[in-house]
Amino acid sequence: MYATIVGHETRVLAKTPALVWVLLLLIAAVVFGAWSASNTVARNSAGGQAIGGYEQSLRDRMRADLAKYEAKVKASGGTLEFAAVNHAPGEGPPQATNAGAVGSETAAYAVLPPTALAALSIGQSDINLAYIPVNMRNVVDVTKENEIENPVNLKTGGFDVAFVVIFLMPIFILAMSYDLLSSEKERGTLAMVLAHPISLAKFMASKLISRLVVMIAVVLAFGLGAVAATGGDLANADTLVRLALWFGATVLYCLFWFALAVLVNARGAGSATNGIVLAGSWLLFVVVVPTLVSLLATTLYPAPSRFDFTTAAREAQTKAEFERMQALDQYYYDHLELVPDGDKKANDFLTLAMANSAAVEKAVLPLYQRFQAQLDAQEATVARFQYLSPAIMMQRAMNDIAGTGPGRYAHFMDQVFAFHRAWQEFFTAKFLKREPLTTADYDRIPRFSYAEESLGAVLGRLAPSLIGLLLVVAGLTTAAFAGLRRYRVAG
Amino acid sequence: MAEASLTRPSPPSMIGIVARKEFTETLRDGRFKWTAAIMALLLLTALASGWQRYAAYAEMQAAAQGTSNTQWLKQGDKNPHSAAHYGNYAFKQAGSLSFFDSGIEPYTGNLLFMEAHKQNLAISRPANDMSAVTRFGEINGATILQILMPLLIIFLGFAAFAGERERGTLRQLMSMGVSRQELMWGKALGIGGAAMLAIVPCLAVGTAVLAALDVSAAPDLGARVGVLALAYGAYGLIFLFLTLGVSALLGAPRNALIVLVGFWAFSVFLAPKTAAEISKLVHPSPSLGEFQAEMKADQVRGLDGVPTAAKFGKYVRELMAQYNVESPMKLPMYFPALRMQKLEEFDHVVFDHHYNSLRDTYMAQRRLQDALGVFAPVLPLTSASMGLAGSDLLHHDTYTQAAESHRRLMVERMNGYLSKAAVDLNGVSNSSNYMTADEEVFAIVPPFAYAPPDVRAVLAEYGGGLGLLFAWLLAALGFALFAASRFRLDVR
Amino acid sequence: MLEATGLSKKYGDLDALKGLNLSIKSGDIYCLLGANGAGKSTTINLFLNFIDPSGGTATVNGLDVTKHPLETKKFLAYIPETVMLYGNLTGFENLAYFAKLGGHDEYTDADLKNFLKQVGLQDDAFDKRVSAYSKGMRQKVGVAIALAKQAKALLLDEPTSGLDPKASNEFSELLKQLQKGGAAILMATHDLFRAKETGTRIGIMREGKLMRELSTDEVSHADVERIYLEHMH
Repeated sequence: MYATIVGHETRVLAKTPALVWVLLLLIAAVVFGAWSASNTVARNSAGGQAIGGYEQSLRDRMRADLAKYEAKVKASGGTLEFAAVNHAPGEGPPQATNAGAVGSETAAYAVLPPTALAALSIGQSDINLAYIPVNMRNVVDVTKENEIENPVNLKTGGFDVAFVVIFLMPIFILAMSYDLLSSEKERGTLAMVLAHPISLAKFMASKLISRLVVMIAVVLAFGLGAVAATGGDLANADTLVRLALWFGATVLYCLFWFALAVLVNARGAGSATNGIVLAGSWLLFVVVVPTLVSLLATTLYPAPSRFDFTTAAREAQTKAEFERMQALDQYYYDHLELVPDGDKKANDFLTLAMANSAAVEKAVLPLYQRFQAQLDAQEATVARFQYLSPAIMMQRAMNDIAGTGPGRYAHFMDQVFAFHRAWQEFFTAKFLKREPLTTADYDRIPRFSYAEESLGAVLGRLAPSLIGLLLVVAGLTTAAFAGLRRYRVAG
Repeated sequence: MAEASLTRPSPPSMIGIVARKEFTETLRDGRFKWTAAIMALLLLTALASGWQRYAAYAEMQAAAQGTSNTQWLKQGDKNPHSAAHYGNYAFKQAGSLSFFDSGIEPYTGNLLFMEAHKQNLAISRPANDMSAVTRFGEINGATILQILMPLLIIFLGFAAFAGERERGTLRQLMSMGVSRQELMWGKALGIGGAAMLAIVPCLAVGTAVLAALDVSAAPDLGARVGVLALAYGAYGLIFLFLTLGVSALLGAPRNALIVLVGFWAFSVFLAPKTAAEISKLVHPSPSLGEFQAEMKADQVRGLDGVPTAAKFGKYVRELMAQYNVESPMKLPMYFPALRMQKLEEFDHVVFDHHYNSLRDTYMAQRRLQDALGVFAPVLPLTSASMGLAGSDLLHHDTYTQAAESHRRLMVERMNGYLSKAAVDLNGVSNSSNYMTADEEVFAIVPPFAYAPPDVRAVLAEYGGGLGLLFAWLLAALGFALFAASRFRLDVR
Repeated sequence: MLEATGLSKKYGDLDALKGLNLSIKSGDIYCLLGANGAGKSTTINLFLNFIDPSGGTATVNGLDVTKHPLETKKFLAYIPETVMLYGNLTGFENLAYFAKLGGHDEYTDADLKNFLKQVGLQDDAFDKRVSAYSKGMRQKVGVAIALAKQAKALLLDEPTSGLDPKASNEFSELLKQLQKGGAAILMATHDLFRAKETGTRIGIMREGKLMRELSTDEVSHADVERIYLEHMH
């Protein structure tokens, strides 16, 4: 019986030109979404490679200078000397021997690689910088840059598969099911059908299955195909699990909208009224509630003022410069083992700059950490209110699955901070001891390599959204089919 | 309209009669009460929160700019070039009507470090400090009018003809001697009037807020508000006429509804993103890494292929020949200061090239998106609305350019002072690194301030888009009148 | 086959049907006459279990329709004023679909075409979309559905209203065929002439009550009209 109705419904759908066009449009949107998002992914990667490569080439040139100098020293039988920091290169040892200069004037880029599914959801990857220049500057300066993109486009948001799934798919689902029952009633075929031995619930379920199958097949097949075609490597365990989660979340989200359509149809109103109610619901769940939750989160936990932060950092800088000697003493005091022999008050520009920078960092770090704290509080608020809108749950899930959400970025930034410490320790130790760098040291310069977060961590973040979605869908479906029991075919 | 009343002698009050009936009928509709109430509530929320944010930001910006300008003066005695390294910050002003349309403000940096040797990008983008959920968009007066107003109009008007046709009253109505055009105008007036009722609270609050604004600070505020009102009015009318036209031409109300809601969703959600992607394809813009790597490379190798070092060498040789000396140190000026300023000037060309091309690319992307407004009227409206609210690319560009001009002035004055003071100090000195300047010297650089572009510049930039919007209005009106001349009286 | 016992339906204060007692056996064509709102359609909807009765029972083949909503429908066929079909599908596809819904998936294409032939649908219409069908053609497909379902009872709600006399006549002939096959037929109609011609019994309803029952072989056309008008005053 199910097969009969599903077959029939599919045939009817296939013979409705408008729906065929809608499906073709959906396919086009999925493919376009995956393709354009993969452009954004590629653009970010190109950025990291370009600037990372440029900085690496600077260090390579320094290493080449050093190799020449080492050869010269070896030939003359002397010892390696430590170069002073100055603007104009002259005779003597090259700057390449000065750890402070190398560590300050070149940067190593800590790069966050995209996941294989990055093209499924741009998330925050168009505003969060995926390559952080790490050098001797303090942590505040190191992390101050943002990825650049036309702000007009950032406001509009990217056209990715997540957009198609979260925004467009519900429209298509509602377009093919807003009149699921009402049209059959208006055409009179509902009475014809129900004069046969089939229950309304079963009839409805069959109609749903046919539409669900069509929808899922289109979105999943083309979404997957597009990701594979745009260079996503789909063949490892991590990717497969993420993919399965994406499937699951998408199917649940589809079900939500179908169940909503059934619920509204079960009220027994006409097609036009159903259309209005469903279009209104779409607007409510996909636009109004998310923007209100966003307003709530940013009003409850506004980011601290970057302006105040900047002027405070300035204040600290001026103070550090006023007290430069004290700062320098303090700095050496913290690193007593590093004080060079016979040079207790190295009044060197670079040392001072580094000392000042450290002083500023120390002064503003509590303020700086409040940015992340407030951001975390905002996300926690959104997490609490996400159950009001399946679109919010879905957005969070999509971003986490594609690895473009705040969770994975925070995981990356933690590693960046650790790498920054390692970099500073490596160069500071050699610099303060005035120990000349050797080519062998260049091979020991810390390198950043991103350690992917565990799937457990991803699942932990995803679970509330997915379980929430599941419960909402279950509740809605129950309510919808309960509503069908009260449906009146006539009278 | 004038023609219609000339050729048809029926009294013009026909339109009034139809309009009054439509108005009353719409007001009694439960759907209207609900949607209008929700819309009014959202508008009030959006305007209130927008105002609160705008006021807090404006206060913060003024305070921070003042503090930073003072910090420049009070940075402590030091070498003037070191002072240029210490620099100053430029804080971006809020658009004068950004409480209504915050535009791109969440997505642009709003503080810019002005320092020696480097032209920086504006940093501190608010969106980076906000939850990912904000990417659903910001609820503000503009987005509500852009997104919700058309839907409200569609809900109120999709059944205007199709519903009467279905109930059979259309045939009866036409038998009363109403002309088709009169019917169309009457319905437009009645339904448009009802829709206005939902927007009136917004107008009231807007006016109250404007009254509270310090108009003397922005003398063109009235003009901005006026053009904004015209643009949004045109936008609403476009949807009103399209809705009535579709309702007249399509058989059943449900068909009219699905077509109109489909167009709305396409126009408001699909078209902007598609247009953005198309504009990115046609005018690709670099990522930060590419931008920086290219610019740094050009600073060394020179835009014209002549390396900066070679250019500088040539300049110094010419200078030595001019003064007839064998060493740059023997020049009758403080060479380090000269060198710093000259290298700075070589960089200006490179900075200008890269920053201008980035700006031009963004502008070109936006203009292309406006032009794609032939498919969706919301595109030019969004742009013009941001422009008039002062929260667009044009205002951002004015800000960053003002900051760069100020930076160049600051560096030039500090280097110039260093050069001159060093000569005054030592005759021909080469050891003036230890020369210090104080607050009085730093004061030769004026405090940073800038004026946003005025409404004429805004209209010059967005005039084309606004023209397109009014072309849409004419087309929609034409379509509605065409539909009026063609609609059928019965479903089949 | 079709039996109503004390069957009532109330909508608020309005009595749409008051204690209807009715029994229609195999081979009967029972014609319900009455003004609009007399309760004819309500009766049919009650037999279809589209609405719940306020009192009494309706049984099909001895089964209470409210207790056995699906089983009873195996015996029923329903032909409304206009047989509504899926406009995008052909007559043949519609028949195939409804036959399967009726639980008959044993038919071959030839069998199904045979049903369409049997009801007199012209061959070239089989594979045309139903949206192009006239009302008479739709009614024929409706009968074909009933045939394919092998229905033991037919519920017809003004099936000939709006049909031209020729089509109406053809439809009556089809009903007689079904009757010979042993079906019990309940038909609501306004057509006094057809009721006398085709029906075996006539029931006259007014304001939800069955006022009078007649056997068609005991009265003339004129009697039917006279008695009907008597009850309408």
